[in-house]
Amino acid sequence: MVSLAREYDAELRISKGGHSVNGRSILELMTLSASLGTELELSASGDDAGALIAALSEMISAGFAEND
Amino acid sequence: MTFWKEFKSKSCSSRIKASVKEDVLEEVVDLLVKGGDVDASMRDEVLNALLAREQLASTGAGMNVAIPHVKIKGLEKVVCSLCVTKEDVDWNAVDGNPVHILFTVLRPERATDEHDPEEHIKRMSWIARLGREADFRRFVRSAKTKAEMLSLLKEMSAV
Repeated sequence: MVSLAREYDAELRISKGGHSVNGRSILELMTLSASLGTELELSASGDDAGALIAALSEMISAGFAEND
Repeated sequence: MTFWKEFKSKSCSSRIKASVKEDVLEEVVDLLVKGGDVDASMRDEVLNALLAREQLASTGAGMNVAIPHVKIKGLEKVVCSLCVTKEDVDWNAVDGNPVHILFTVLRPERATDEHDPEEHIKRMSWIARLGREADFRRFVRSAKTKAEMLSLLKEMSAV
């Protein structure tokens, strides 16, 4: 997710329970302690915000290619 | 948080000599074996698992920190180590920066009497909070002994 976010010219915030972190930082993302099933809110801003959210939605829908 | 207790001095290093990712991981695993955290019979399996994990995606989390982490069949409890390298190591990290600080985490494939999978998420979160602290990174790199490094883990866990 972080690698994907870094390909776009956009800032990404990921929130859990009102706590928001930089979605372009693995270390910050890990501090969310988001186990399987956790609801997260993704928010992007910048020139590529729309494209980034679309790409992330596709990645999440595909189960991060881990549903095999 | 008492995850700092899972780091044993014998399995950690304040001066990893290797400067290439694969060699660094080998040195880390040999330390875990030497420290008694990994049985010698599992040495190759653990190393191969860590190398395979890096092929999947780099564990270079940015800010000069790598967090190699894998599940190991036959492991009954979590094994952790903290190592600092002498040299810059190209880890193909997400931010392109070299790695100096490694938190290595081996965990059982499934829940055991000594391993709660839910704790793993909290452990990784704890490691991430340490890794993103500039003070921690600066202090751990300047630590002259393993005792200093582990003392730092304990102190900064309380912050």
